[in-house]
Amino acid sequence: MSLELINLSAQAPSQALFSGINATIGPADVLAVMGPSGSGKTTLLNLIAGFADPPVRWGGEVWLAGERLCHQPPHKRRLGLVFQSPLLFPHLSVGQNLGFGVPGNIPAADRRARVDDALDQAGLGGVFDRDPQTLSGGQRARASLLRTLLSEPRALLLDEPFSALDEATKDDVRAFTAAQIERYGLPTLLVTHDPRDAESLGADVLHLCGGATAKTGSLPAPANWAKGSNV
Amino acid sequence: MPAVPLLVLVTLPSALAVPCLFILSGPSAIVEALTLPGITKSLAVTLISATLGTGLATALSLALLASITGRSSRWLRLTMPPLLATPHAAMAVGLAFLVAPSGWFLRLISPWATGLERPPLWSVAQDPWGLSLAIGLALKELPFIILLAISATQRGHLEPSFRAALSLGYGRYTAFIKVIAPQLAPAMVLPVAIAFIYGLSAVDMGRVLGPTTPPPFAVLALSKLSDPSAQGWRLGLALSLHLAVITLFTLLAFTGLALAVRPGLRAWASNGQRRNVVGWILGPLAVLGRFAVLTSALALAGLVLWAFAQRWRFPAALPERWTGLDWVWARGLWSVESLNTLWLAFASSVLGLALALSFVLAERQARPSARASIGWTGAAVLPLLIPQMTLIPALLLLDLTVLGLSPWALALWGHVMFTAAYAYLSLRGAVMSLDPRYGKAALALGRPPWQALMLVELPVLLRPLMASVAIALSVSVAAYLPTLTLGQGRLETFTVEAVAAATGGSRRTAAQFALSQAFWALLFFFAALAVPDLAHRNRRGLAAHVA
Repeated sequence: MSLELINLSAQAPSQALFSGINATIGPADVLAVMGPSGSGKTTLLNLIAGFADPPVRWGGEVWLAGERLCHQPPHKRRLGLVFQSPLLFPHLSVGQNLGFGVPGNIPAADRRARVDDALDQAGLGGVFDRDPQTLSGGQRARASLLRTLLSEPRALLLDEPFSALDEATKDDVRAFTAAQIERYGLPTLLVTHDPRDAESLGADVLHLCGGATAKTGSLPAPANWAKGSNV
Repeated sequence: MPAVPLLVLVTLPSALAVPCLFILSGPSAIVEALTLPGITKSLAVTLISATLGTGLATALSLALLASITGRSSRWLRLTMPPLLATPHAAMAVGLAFLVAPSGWFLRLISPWATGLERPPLWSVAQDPWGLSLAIGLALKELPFIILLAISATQRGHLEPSFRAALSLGYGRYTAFIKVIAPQLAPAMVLPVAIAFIYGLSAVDMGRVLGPTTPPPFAVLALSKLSDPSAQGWRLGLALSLHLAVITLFTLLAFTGLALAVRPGLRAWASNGQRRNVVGWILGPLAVLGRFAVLTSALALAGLVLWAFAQRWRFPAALPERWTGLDWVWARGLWSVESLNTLWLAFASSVLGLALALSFVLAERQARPSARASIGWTGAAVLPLLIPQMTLIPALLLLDLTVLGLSPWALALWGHVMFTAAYAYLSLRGAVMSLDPRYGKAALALGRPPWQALMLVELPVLLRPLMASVAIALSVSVAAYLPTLTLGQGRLETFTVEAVAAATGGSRRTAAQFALSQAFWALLFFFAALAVPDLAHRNRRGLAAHVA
């Protein structure tokens, strides 16, 4: 199953964000989208997920497993979207949050088993009934990714999923994310500022340069990975 | 589409009110109304009481807020909600008992401090210039204004500005008035205007606390509307129309005044003076504010005493004999008044909340510009921007000439107009500031939009939703004019009976109805506020995600 981006472009009222994006992301492949603030990284991700809001105008096509997604509403695209903050729903327990992700046609007993298995495998056993707010940052990030994976997505869209974590936790969550991508064979698009994120997931890189045609390429040399720098 | 029900049921009839009154009152009545005996004094009393009451409430709110900014303010947060939920009529009856010549204030200091063995002959309530009415309005509007001000302070993250001003050597009150108040002002204009407009047409408080010869303008209009002759009726309509015009011109005058002094205020705020007269005034005003809160609490306590007092001669501080509890059931819990009050409150709150919620969700989806959002808000709160005494007779006329609804349905409609407007006011901030990514996350997890709304966004918004319900219930329980006029005398509710008994001189009966009214309003208010605590116990994240 591949995610294909064909000639994608986006235009804000006052400026062109990007144009000419063409990429094919294969199963378990990761494409990291990097670029300065305002270059349209999150807009690209929203466009693929179906959240392209006016006043941004866009063009091009998105295909997944031979299916054209452009005019499908977000909830029918089956694309797993993970945000910068975990966004666990605060009115639900951790387990209920994960259960929210499980497709509705699964019987209740199986839903619970799936959630328990997922939590156990992620080292989160015993937190089913906990308030999400009582988890550590890393636990929340993992729970958020698990919730997305339990919804049986056909591809993953990660919007700076590690940027809110401290350095020690980042490595754990990066490794966990890489393992899940590999396990489920999901084509993945990662928006990030940090070359370490891309490197840890073995990603190819798409540079957005603010209005110019996007360029695919490789990561800069590690010596140039200044913390927090834009690539 | 979701905005249409509110626009049709709330905005449209409000917009039609003035043209409707203009056409049906007729030119001769419009002119004749201006020549009625005592009309000038009536107008003066109304302007004085509304301006003084709103001005005092605003000044005390600012002073109290200045005194608590950056500090723990538990007492204020605990006392304001019940005072907000207390109906106007109950507060008016309680205050009248407090300040009357034979009232509780004088009893507490007699005869040891005053030497009085009999009530004096002076008149405090119903004074000729509406000063007691102004105080009643100030006490009742204080919690409304201060709670909205606290909410605006929290949303605007103003405390860092306050701390910065303190660190630059400004005192607490000067820092507040020079740095925080200008930032609060945009958020406070609407609530203050609503309080002022309410004050101009407060019939329930006006009948209990206002003068009688001549009465406040809105009371005069209502008395003419009760006139059986066609000419009297048209005069009442004309007075209602004049009240709308007076409101418009007064608001324009205040707006002009504000615009005129604004450059001077800005220059004053940046003149570098650390000590000034405003700082000195705000300190004593904050003390006065605390006294006002205490007075409101005493008014409610006095209500309880009068309701249960069988025999209470002056100057005894407490009743000598108490009534039985039989009236509590027969009058307060299981009576025509309680049933009418309850069904009106529940039905109008549910409908009002549904209208307000669908409207504010439509507004969020439309993502209006700052200028356009004024239009959205204006449409939703239009019933609060028109004097009730203008809106309600117009609605009655609309019904009599076109719709032909039953008094019950018409009264419900009238209540819904106000519950929807207040629900919108209390809900808008929370809905607009809800993180939109919650909905997106639910959609990305494969849930359709209606499930994203019902299973994620509304549960996260449960606390502000229930706060809106609480306010809507209180508004309905307190609504006097819509119930009296649109119910065409057939709807007996606590508020109608309390005002009737108070103006009829039956102190105990008035207290019993007013206490029952306050009891139900407070019960609904706190029950609605308790729901999120029960539903979301052990969910700390909710407070952080909802403004």
